[in-house]
Amino acid sequence: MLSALARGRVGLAATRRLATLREKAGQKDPLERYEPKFEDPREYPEFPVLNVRLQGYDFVPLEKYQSFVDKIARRFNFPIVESYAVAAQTCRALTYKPQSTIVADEIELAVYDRVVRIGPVPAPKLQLFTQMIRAHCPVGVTITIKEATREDEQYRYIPDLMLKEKQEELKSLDNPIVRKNLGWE
Amino acid sequence: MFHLKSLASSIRVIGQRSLENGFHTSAACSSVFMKRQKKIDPEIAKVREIRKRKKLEREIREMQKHSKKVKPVDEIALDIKSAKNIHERTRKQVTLTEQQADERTLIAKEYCRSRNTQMRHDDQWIRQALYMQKKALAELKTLSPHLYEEAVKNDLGNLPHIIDGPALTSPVKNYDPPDGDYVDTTRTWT
Repeated sequence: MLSALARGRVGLAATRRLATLREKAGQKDPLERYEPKFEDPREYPEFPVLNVRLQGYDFVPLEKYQSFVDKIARRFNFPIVESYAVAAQTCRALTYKPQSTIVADEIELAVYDRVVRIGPVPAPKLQLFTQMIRAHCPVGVTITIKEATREDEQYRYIPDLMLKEKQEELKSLDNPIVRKNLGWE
Repeated sequence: MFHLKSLASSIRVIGQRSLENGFHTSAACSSVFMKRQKKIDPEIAKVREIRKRKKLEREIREMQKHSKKVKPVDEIALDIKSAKNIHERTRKQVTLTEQQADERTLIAKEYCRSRNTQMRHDDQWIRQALYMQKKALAELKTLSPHLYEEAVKNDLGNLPHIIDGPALTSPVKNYDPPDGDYVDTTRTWT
């Protein structure tokens, strides 16, 4: 009974019979007397945020597969940060006539791009996850698993040149040469 | 020698022309930051600096509010041109015979059942694999803590991990590819 009290995991029914408040509160670990103990729920070392990037020429299976990756990540209890589409990379494929550079045939190709961002991911579980999604990879899809970086995030957006200019200008105010030219120093 | 002479004369001609047209070919050097200002009173300079910084910061903040525009994803966006004349491309509704309808329903059901079974197997595999891994790692921890640390650590060295999916067909033997090129036509914003 006392040991259960010490662990602090007894219900109201068990403590009701006790006479004093001190008894009801139970014995406490001296370390936990003033501050609660914060236990780390992490079992293994973790990757903070990972990007699972899916690329392919056919976006219908790609999209279906994106939802599958999302579903499997949930089964592994990985929190899903975001699941989004990125603008496709397009290219024109040309074939030349023999011994010349006259175009015989051409076609527009687009590499569609989908990203599932997951994290935090316990390191040993990632291998099992990879094995699972590899087993179900559809035809012509390339999977890239990597750490999420700022460049990946910026790649999604249209670069704002005016904003960049302003930021550069603000930064240049720290430059001693510029300051001298402004007459501030 | 002749070449040099001709070159020099042509340069002269170009120079004259540019002067006639009122063009200046020197680099622009009239920015606020380039021209040297007179040294001013430090008190005033400080006030001006603070004002300038505040102004820039405010402008940046205003711009950041509206600046985050996602690159358009063409395959998801509505194609307005084809959406306008969509009624021209509607097909007649196909009426199936009873036998065909039954057949299709049966196929759909079988497909559904097979996907269901697969998902159940996958699910089972995931649960079992996680359980076994946990057990094995716990065992390893008791046997050799050093090896356990190695097995468990988040190694970024492996990480950009690239998996290529299967190809639709197997490689053709003795295939002689035609000459060709890829021209990148990805839209850029610069």
